[in-house]
Amino acid sequence: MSDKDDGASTKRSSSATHTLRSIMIISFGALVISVVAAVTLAITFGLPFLGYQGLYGAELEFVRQNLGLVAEQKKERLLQWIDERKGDARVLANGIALEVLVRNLHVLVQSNLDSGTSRSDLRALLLRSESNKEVMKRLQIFVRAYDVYTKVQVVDASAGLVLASTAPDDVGGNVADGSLVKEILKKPSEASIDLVVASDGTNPYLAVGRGIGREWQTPGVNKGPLGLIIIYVATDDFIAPLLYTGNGLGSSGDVVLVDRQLRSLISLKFPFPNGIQAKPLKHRITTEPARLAASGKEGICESSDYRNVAVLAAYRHIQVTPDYSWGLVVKRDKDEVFRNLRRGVINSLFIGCVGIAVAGLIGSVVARKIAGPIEKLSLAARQVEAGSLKADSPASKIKEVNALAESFNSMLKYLRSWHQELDRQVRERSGELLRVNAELHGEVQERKRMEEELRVSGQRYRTLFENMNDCVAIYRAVNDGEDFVFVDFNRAGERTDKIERDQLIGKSLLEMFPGMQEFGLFQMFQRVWRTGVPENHPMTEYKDDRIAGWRKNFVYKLPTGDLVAVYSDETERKQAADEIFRLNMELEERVKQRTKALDTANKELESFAYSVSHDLRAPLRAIHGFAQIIATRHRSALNTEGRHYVDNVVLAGEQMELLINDLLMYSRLGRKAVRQDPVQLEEVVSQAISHLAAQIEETHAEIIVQKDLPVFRGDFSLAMRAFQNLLGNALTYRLETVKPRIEITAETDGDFVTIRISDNGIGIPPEFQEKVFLIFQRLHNQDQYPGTGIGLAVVKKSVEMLGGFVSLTSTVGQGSTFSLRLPRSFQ
Amino acid sequence: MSKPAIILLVEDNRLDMELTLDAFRQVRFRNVIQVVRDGREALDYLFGHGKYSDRKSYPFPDLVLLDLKLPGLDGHEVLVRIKTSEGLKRMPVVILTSSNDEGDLIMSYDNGANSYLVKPVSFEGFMSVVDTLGKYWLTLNVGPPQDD
Repeated sequence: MSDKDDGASTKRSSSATHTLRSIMIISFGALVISVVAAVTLAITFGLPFLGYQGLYGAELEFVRQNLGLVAEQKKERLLQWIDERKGDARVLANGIALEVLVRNLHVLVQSNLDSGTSRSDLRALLLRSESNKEVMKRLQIFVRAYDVYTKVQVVDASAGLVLASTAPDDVGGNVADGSLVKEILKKPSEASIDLVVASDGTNPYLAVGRGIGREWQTPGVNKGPLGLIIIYVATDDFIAPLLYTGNGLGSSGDVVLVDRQLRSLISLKFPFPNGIQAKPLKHRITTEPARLAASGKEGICESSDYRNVAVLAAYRHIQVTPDYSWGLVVKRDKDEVFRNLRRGVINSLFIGCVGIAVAGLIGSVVARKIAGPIEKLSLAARQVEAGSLKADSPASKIKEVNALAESFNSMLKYLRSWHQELDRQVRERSGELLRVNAELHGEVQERKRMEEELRVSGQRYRTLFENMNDCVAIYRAVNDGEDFVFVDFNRAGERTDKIERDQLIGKSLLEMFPGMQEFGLFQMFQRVWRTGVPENHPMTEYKDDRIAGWRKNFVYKLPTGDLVAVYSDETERKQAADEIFRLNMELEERVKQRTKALDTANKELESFAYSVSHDLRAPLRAIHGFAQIIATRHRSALNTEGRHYVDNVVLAGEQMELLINDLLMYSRLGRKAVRQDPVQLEEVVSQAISHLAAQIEETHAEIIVQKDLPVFRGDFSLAMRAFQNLLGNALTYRLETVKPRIEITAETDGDFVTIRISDNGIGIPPEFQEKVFLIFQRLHNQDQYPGTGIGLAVVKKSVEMLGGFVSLTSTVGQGSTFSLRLPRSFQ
Repeated sequence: MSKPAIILLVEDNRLDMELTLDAFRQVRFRNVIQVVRDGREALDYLFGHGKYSDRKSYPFPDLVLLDLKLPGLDGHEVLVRIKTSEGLKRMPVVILTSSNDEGDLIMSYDNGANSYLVKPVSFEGFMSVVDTLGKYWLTLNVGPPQDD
């Protein structure tokens, strides 16, 4: 980092950036505030697209349900109550006695009305009549029994005048609600209901009326009832309590009941906005839900009520009679509904604020913990920047900051050592510069010397080039390797190719040596020129009209792009090689001829052996046979000398027989195929012993054979021959003074089996130990030890044919040991 | 056995022949030995050609003793002729030779020789061979049925 960069970064940090601490506090605070705000909003208003409606939605839903339930309950209760009233009216009206009494009163009134009696007279008349008294008694019993009704009237149907009443003042007067009478007369058998304003104007009444008696109901009688019964109930005393909501809907819960003309049927809970306390039937309630309820609709809506206060309202239509209905509104102030919710939001906001404050506090502490060491680090860095390399940064409790401080310290350490190193290097370089200057001077001198040397070397090279025995030609490629022209050519080349250097320089290779393509070297030139890889061109014959000869080339490319061919004239060598080849062929031919001759000789030898076996034996047998006849049958005819000679002839014949047999055996050894079977040595030894049984018995020899003899690989009969001969020899060449003792031992030794046959016989002098294996070689005359001199030759040949060796150790007068090494069998 | 056994000895070597005849004399068998000197003569005798058609003088033999090494037609050839001839194939033929060559041995048995005897050089040995041979072939062995 350069000084300039360093300055720029310092400036930037002081003006445009905030301190680490403020950034941490601000970001931490912002994070907490946004999280709190988001959580509060989500809890209150729900989450979009997730189906969570929030506290607001849940509360609204709950209040709506609650309002609906209350409205429904109130409607049910009202209808039930009205039904009870209708029932009461029916019970009263259906009494037969009352019907009779009413007829009497009707007759009385009718006659008086016809005769023009005044109303006050008629009233007195009625009050005095017995029937009236009877009716009155019944009506009072009814009122007292039910304790609901304000009063009960019996009215003349046609005159519309009160015949009897629990309020005696009414008697003789007209019915307060004429329209009700008309309604009743339309359907006298059912209850009709109307609301009647009280005479004092305060408490309205609910009037329920119907026709009295049942006579007129008889089918076929087409006339109405004579009298009607009307019962009155004070609305505020009975209906208003019925609709009272208590605390179920909070303090603002309210019920409004209106008739079809939207007149309030009960006293209202709250006054109108203008302060007037609404009176039943006197004031109309024109709010939306009331209108909807009166017009037969049911549901829930948000609206403002008669006070102009925003409310949630459930409205129901109440069908009092088939022709008469009311509207019921159950409402609650929105303000009250959401008051709890608002309180919740305020609470969470408050908790949020407390959280923010606590977070801010923690943040500022953490910031100080983190920022403190960094500020110290920064202070230390500024000191370093100012040039002091001594200020170490203190350790911090925060791991990362500590690591930073440690790195800073180690950096500082490096900086210090670099500083020292730089100092040292500057000193060193200065020294070096002086030295280099001196060297440079030396080099200039050296260069001069080398140039001189180069000149000498050039001359040396030229001399070498011209005087070397190898031919050298240098070429330059032309036409992008299409041909090559001679650049240089040495004297050896001139001699070999029989051409002057001057004739070649600048000339084309193909022009001067037209046989190059066929020779194959031209293609190699192109290849080497292209790849730059040196190649050897093997000994090949070059031929054109001018010269011919065998050449061996080595071609390589110089850094200058020129090609060099180093070659030699191999013609003489080639001729010599050809001569050798020819001689070899001759030799081979001669070997073949000799082999053939040898084969023929072998065949002749075989037939000779056959002759020996057959033709030689026939005369021998005759000599022997007739000599024996003479020696036995004609012995008496001979003198002592004659007998001796005849015996000699017989003896010679016997020896001759032995000799022929042994010779035959020896010659046959080479003619038989050698088997390669696993052979039990034990078997071989025991058979050999059994063949020699007679001789063994005769000599009282002791033969000791090692137990568990190994198995070797070879030919049983060949081995038998070898063992028979060796054992036979051991029995033959014995000392007369000791009992013959033959020991046979064997051991396996790698891939071989070594078998030893030791005797205690006469032994063989060292100078003959090699010779005894030669054919016809004997150490003793026939009189000392009989034999043919073939036995050990047979042994040697047999063992060699088995792929083994035979050797001998012996001490004269003590005995001999023959060792046979035969290939071991692994089967 | 009323009439003496007839043996045809095929032997070219006069000395061997004499020794053989001597040996037979020494062991004193009741036999007649007819001698022929080569293979051709042997076959003529056996097939009754020429003078051998006279079976009174040259009776049909009970046993042939055949040497292998014969001038002209050799012993192997004579053996083959005998053993492939319808009338002679059951004739017992004993090879009596100086050769103990394995090739001769194998070839003789392959061609149907009934026995193979090597003549020992010693006369005593030879006599014991003749003795055994006579005892076996002329007394113990039951020969093939004869037509005449």
